Amino acid sequence: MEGVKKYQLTFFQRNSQKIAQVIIVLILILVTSPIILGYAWLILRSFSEDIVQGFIPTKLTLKNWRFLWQNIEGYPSIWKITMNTFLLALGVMVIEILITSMGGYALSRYEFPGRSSILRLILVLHAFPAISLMVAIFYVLWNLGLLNKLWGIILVKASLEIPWGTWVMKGFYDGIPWELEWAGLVDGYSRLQVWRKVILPIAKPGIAVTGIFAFLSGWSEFVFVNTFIFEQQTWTLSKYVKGIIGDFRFVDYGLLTAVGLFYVIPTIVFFFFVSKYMIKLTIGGVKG
Amino acid sequence: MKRLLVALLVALSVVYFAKVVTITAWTVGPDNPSVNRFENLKTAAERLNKILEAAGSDIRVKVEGYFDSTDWSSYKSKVVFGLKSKQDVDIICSGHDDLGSWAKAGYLLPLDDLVKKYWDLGLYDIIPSLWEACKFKGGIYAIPQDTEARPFYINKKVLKALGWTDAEIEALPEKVAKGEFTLFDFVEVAKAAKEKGLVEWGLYHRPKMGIDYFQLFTSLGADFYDEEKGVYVYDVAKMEEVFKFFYDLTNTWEITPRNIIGTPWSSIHKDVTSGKVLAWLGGTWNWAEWKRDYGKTEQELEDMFVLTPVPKATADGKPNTLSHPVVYMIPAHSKNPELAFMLLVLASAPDLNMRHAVQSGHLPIRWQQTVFPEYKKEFIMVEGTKLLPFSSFVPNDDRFNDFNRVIFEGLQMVESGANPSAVARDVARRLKVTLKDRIEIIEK
Amino acid sequence: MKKFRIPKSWFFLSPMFVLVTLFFAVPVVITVVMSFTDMDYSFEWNFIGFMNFQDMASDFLIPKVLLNTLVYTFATLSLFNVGMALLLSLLTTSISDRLGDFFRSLWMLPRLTPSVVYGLLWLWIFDPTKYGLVNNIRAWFNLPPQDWLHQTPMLMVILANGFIGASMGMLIFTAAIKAIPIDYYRAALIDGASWFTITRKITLPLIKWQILFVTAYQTLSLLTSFEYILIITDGGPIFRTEVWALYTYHTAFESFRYGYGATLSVILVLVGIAAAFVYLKLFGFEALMSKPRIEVD
Repeated sequence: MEGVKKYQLTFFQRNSQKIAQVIIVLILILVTSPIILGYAWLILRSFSEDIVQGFIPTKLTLKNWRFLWQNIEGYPSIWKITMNTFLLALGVMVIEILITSMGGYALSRYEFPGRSSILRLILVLHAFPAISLMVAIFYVLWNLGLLNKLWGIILVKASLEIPWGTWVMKGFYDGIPWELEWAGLVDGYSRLQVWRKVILPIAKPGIAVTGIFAFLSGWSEFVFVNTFIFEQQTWTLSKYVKGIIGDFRFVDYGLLTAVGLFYVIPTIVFFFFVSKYMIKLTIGGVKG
Repeated sequence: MKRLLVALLVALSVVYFAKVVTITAWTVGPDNPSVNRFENLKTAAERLNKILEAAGSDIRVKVEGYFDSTDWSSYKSKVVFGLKSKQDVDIICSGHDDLGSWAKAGYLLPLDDLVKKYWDLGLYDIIPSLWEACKFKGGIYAIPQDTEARPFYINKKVLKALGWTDAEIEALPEKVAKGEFTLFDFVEVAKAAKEKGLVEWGLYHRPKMGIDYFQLFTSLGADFYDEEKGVYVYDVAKMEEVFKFFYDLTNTWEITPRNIIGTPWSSIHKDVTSGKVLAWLGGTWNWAEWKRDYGKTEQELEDMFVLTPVPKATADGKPNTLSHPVVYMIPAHSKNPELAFMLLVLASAPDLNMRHAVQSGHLPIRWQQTVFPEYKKEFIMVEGTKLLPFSSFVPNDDRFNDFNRVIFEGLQMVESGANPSAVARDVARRLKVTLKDRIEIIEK
Repeated sequence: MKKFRIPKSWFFLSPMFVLVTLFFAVPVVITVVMSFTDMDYSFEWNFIGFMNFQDMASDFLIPKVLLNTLVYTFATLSLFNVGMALLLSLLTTSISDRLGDFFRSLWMLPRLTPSVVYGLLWLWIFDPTKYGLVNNIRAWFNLPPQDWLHQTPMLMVILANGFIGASMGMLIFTAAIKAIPIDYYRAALIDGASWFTITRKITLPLIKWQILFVTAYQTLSLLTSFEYILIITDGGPIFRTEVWALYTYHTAFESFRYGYGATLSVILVLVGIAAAFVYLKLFGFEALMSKPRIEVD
């Protein structure tokens, strides 16, 4: 960049870098505006009585958050539901981490017959429209006795995250120099010990990324919960929020945004927690 | 000795049965105000428990389950999966048109005996036409929960401007009901009103797929279902007449806009409530919407509209309205069907049903409700209930959606100017492909 | 090393194997069998041969659905999943890292937001009354509110999906751009090349492979995803946003024609598999499957 400084001529050329930066930021703000405005509205609306000109609250209030301390007619307590949602998300996360950290390792480090077929298969799984297979999944869950159980949903969701998670984990393992592993083996560790004691700690960013995606996919799950859970006591937040939204017309936007925001909070918290890893996400082994 | 034995038996049975019986109910709105479909069952259980307590019984009834306000289709999916896998459920609430398919699949308990047994506990009072919606192949599989009607809203002010007297207007519903004022009479009035510049349009109907326009089919004498055989009927010649009518509405008489299908609901309601349209083929629930979202007062609306059944058009047609009652059903695998039925009877108490009707904008299911003060002060309820004897229902048949979809496409085509007889034949072909042996096509 | 022989590759793969079998392999087999039945809400396995496949040929909605699917997939892919993703990664790597990370983080939000809430945001943006964002902005110019859900449903669906889809490409492109040696840019700057020239001549050719990958991967994602369409327009009005995956869903769960729905799913799976294999071949995925560098057992 120092090279440019030699050519200082007009104002525009002198400041061309700065001007370009400003323009770029302006463009970015413009294209990002629906996201910024959308979330700004979500937050503002949930704390206001009513809103004018799109964003200006007429009067601040906590009334919209009443669902936190009193039950809404026809719905169970939000805390019970939040707990269910948390269990579901946690379950998906734990299983997903277990599966992909093991599977990704095998695919990254072992040579065995059928390895490349498995890698292909995993990519192809991504082409399966999971929700369209729902009747078949009903039969599977029914036969396993997992209908109406959070466990059933956890297993289904974890399975759906396999293709993505496995590739991410394999990518992270691919990036770990094999010398480390070799050193561990020379020190007398078994392969399993090497994986646990040497490799897994290094692969933490990968586990974090896979984990958060799995957690959030469990946290947001709607269709399977809505179809295969028959008891109100096992509902999760998505069902609760969708129920309150109803058909979206003539609704209490205040309550809606408050419930919606409540539902998004863990997402945002988690996000700030691991965004530094996420930004580094690559599809492992990509040429370039 | 004998007495002692009886006392002992009673005591024993009390100890033995000293338990809480759980009745699980799955109910659906999906509109939030219909939450009383579930709450009424809970209140019914409270009432039943009072009786049980008074009788010295230790049995208590508890209602569990949920009220679903998500949407119809996901609710129905869940019900079907739940019924198939025999989940614990004793009461299911849904639209009457689901009962055909679910009864056919053997999921539902026939209720004829129970209805007969508990008839005197209030079931006798239910508006008779509603029972028709609860039947499948002659057997009763449900009991009514609520209903509505789809009146023909005619703008009185326009009629007055056309020179109608108050007496004539007041007599109009009666004349329509007797078939003395026909749909074609209405078309003439609409044409005149439009020519004189009193209104922009003569008739609006719903802009989306729905069931309202089947009322016009009935007016025109077009049957579309054979109850006996459980098949759809499509008489090409008759349907050509129907399609011709819709074609004429937008193309010949020009009293309905050509692009009405697809127009936003909000524009439709705005036009209707601001007097730009002579007549609106809508539902009783619109009344509440107009007051809530379109800034109309009760008085303004009462001064504006006269409600009639949909007039008959041809000699073989009849004046009618279409209702879509929501009903309660009991699954065949329920462990406590009789108790569940008892709860349904108690939940149909006039005051409970009235609570639901007022809160959610539906019509009562019982005559006794019509003496309630909250009923009498609601114009739309009084007028709407008068239409109930003219009620017809869409068939309790599983393929109705598919049938409806094809018909709707056809209506869209003729309204935008396609040749009615070509469309009538085209629709016949599509129906045959879609429904196969479930439809009978009567060729010309 | 010889004392441990159990932890072979299959030990590591077995959990994955169990779940893939239970929730992918078995359901696919069941679905394929179902596609030869006329199963409905009564769950009867009534075999009817290839009837469903024949019916598909005469299903008058299919041409419409196909067209919608093409428009939806192509537009979302080109405008957002690749187009917007490229724009974002190019722009955010041209400014300071802190600002760049900030914007990239913002673009990750939609993907992380539960679909139900995300749908709500778009429904507010396009609310037909004056309370919606777009109509509010129109009001400043004295324009009447419009019912966007009815007038431009496809655009809404594309926007809503695009704002989610852009993030994956953005991350991958950004990583690739950052991996380009800085010397390339220095040399170009010394030659007096403009930002556009640098982008066109240096950056884009060097991340070509990533662009191809994202295009391919996201084509499949878009073909099979419909959750946001379901929430926002439900395929309407009058089938104007009904795409293949959604039609499959509606056939099965609104018309309760599980058999026919299964047939439509099978077609979708076949198309997906075919596409997957084409891009596996085209883009030289063998490189991704390079042999492991260590092999001790």
